[in-house]
Amino acid sequence: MPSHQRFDSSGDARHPGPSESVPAPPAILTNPQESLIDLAGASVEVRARVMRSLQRTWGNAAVSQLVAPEGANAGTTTLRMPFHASIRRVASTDVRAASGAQALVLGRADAEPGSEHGDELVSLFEGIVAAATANAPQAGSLPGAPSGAAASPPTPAGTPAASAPTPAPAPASPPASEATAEAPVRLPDITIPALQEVGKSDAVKGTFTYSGSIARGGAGPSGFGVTRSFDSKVTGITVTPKSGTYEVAATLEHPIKWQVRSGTGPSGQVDITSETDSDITKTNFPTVVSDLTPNMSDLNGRPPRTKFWAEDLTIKHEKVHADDDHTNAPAAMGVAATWLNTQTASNMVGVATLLGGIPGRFAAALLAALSTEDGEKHAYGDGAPSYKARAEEIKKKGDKGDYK
Amino acid sequence: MNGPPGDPPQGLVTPHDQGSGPGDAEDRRARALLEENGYGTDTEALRQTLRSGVGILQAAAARLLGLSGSRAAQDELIRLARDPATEETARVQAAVALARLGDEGAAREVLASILQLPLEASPGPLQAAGALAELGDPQGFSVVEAGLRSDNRVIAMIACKQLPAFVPLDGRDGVNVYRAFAAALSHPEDNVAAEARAQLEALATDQARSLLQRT
Repeated sequence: MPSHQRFDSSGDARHPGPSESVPAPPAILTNPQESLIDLAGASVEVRARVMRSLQRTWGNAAVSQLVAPEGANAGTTTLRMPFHASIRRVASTDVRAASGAQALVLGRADAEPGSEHGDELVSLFEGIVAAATANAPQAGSLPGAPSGAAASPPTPAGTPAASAPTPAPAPASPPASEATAEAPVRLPDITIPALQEVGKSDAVKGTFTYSGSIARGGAGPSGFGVTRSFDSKVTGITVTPKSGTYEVAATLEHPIKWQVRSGTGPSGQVDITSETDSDITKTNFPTVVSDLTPNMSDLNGRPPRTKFWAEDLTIKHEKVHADDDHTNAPAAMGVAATWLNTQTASNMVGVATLLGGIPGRFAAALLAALSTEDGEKHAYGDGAPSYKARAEEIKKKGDKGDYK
Repeated sequence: MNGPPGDPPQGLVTPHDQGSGPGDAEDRRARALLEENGYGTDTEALRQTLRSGVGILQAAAARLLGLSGSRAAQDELIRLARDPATEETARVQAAVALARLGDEGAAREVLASILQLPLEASPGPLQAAGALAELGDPQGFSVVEAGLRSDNRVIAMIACKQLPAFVPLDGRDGVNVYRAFAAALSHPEDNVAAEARAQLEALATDQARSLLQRT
């Protein structure tokens, strides 16, 4: 069970002292529901800024999980870190401009292109509020809370959002429009309980199980035979959000299919199943012998097969390729998995997007590992003795005059 | 002709055949991949495949666009080569194409950046090392040697396939290609050792023959 830290600010903000580590107390929540409801009433800019702050400090993974908190916290250490901040008061239009400018520059480096600046955050925020306020007895409002774009963001930049950034006693400014005296106004703690359960960073850690198979199937070949090794799919996916990582477990299904022509070759070649094949005659047997004799100067034994071919030996050839690809496949999967483990994700959608890249990367690794010539030499070399034996048997029978 | 699928490769024929046509072995393999799967190899078809989003097809298309000598797709090749979201294999081949089309500077920049990526997470760094070597730049040799030491047979095989590119650079900047061949010949994976043997036989240099005689 990963240990999560929760940060509360309950010290004297005017007299900051050293951080204090204490055993895990129950969460100190003055009124989280009211806090969230109040945030829900804030402007889009403010909410987006809150979410960016949450992301910066807790990570995208954490934020994405807020709508589905799980499990009880355990082994928690609470650090109380007093802080004192001064927030510059400006006119509301200035705040809006500042907020907008911030949105342009503060996206997380691992955010998805195009989603750095708010929409996703706002959606997530709506989810958080909906989840957190579903059972709220009533919508409350913070005393003296600002509203609209002019509101100071409830989460100070650079501090953990789940922590209660509200000092106690909390010296806070009233709304800019009302602030005329310097009397402190106390705000309730701001805390989001779901954040106590989630991690901070967004690394992805994948563990794949390889499940390969070899079978005859697929479309007929343009040549004598064909092997299709690039198909794969990721199945049985489970993604477990952990502290700092999304742990992915899945199976890579890799159905290798081979296919050969049935009966007739691509140029009408006649299939010779054995030396007793009825297609062999006393006149054509020399051509049959020649066509099935491996040419050792061509890819270590590719037979010419001008008029005759052997379907069964072609099957054997394609199976050699299929076996080779099957042998390489777990290592190719390892390359794709290693790539996944170098990635980060902003949320579950991001994890799914990364997983969508696995089949293509698997295929790329498999293709890159195909030998230049040796693989094909291996495949023909493997079948050469069989071709040679058949050709010799046919020649023997032919020379004896056994064909009609 | 098939349209670019835009999805992970499904039903693609694995080009075990060495292919035919102009260019080097990699060119022929790229052509075989596309032709055996029904993709066109004229410039417009290659440009379309370049946009397929399927790394192995993009790589093959980029390779053949570079071979064609046509600059029609140069801007697309630059974008592909520099796009970090594109599979590295395709980026490497786009860079190779740029170099063939005369933009060696852009090619070297992309290849050098891919060289820095994690060795075991993609064929890209090793392929970038080989491509740089073909441009006369030996900086990726240590990456290839590291690849030959990998426990991952695919990584080791890809590393082995880069060795011929370093032969002309042997003795330069720490490149000892025959030492690397010797390592490949003694690799525990049979296919890696067999690939090294095939390459040495093709090289037919005195040093290659000497190495082959010792194994």
